[in-house]
Amino acid sequence: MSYRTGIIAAEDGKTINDTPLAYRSDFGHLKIDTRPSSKHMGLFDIKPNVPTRTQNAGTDALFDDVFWSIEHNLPFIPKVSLFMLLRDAPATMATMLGRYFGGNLYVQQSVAANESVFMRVDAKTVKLIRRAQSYNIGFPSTNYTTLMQDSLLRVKYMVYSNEASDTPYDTALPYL
Amino acid sequence: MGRYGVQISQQGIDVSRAADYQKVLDSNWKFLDIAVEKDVEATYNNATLSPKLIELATHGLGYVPGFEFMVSSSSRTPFDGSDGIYQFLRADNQKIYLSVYNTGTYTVKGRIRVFTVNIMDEYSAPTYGNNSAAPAASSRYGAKFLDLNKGVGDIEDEDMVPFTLNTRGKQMSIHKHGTKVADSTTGTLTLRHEVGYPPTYMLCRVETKSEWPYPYTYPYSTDQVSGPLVSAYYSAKADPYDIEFKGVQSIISGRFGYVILKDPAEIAG
Repeated sequence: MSYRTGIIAAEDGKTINDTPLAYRSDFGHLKIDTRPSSKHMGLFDIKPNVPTRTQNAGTDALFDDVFWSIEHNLPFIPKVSLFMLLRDAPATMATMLGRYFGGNLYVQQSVAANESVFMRVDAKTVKLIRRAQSYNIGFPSTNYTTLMQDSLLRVKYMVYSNEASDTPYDTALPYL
Repeated sequence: MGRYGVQISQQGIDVSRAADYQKVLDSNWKFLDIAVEKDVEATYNNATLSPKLIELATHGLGYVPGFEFMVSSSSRTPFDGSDGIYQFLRADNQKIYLSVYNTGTYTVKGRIRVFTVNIMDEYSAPTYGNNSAAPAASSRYGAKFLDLNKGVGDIEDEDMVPFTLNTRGKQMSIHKHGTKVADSTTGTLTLRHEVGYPPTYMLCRVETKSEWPYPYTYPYSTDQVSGPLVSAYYSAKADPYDIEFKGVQSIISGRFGYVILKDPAEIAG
């Protein structure tokens, strides 16, 4: 049985019989629990407390370092939004300063060595992760030093009371 | 002349002082409504090198909508692994598709969420709030509407999940949406938003091809824009009036659908 209960609102100057409506509460909505106890929304500055790693371009290696996490206490794996403002960073990242990164902050030092910051969401937790990855793709072996441990991020995150997936996921999508 | 309509603020926020983003309902602007939400699963063996469209879901909105896709698993053999599936997803004015061309077996499983955002329409919301967050006071007054079509929970529930509207929570309202072509000289996409602070946002790529009767769009993302040949990570530089998108490793080019939300990028409230 389909229910039509709730609230609808017409667009300015129109009637509720006109379409589209300005608002329909029988449509789903992305929603966020704003109670402080939920921890489903937050804004903070953070310097990732992660180790300085040496990345050897020419060697397959992947390190995921967790530097922040909460328990979301939802009965499913939720959708999240993540926006990061790069407030301070080493000189080699100067062109990225003052820019917002949604879901994933990606730094490429070489075609065979990169670093990224993203969220990982599973059935219990939401975590911020710094990933350092290098590849053996035939390039000469060159060492790079990771950068995010010397950076400052302003993080805004939102955990929605909306299910995302039945499997854990990262907000850094696989390269499309 | 008076303004007519409905306004409901978040619990504990004085509606007369609320910033726009502190309202869970204001009939003067659009909210990010979800028209269709569906778990999908498909496997297709493309035996010949030719384009095919595999239907994943029907939205039936009559316009090209913004949508997102949460991948549970995907693979493409002989190129196995959960990668690259976003470039194969499309929406037109009726359906969501998996679009394939190369030979191989494609599998995809995930959740589609289609928003009531007409990608090809230009829209700007009025700004009435003072855009400074009103302080929250402790309050037991509010409103909530159960989503009876979900069939879970009851009106006494403390969490947000069973409700389609609940003043204990926040809902995402739209300040502006439309399409724009990136600047081919600078490889950037600049929008005038005038929301009054750096906003949150979503982008997707939009394409029109002569063999299609309608434009089509790729999934929304906050960090990547997909395309048939080129995908690009992007970042944004924003102030109270403008926002500029730029590729992280490469330039971005082509036409993009954008949504600028009233939700600020540097305020959690």
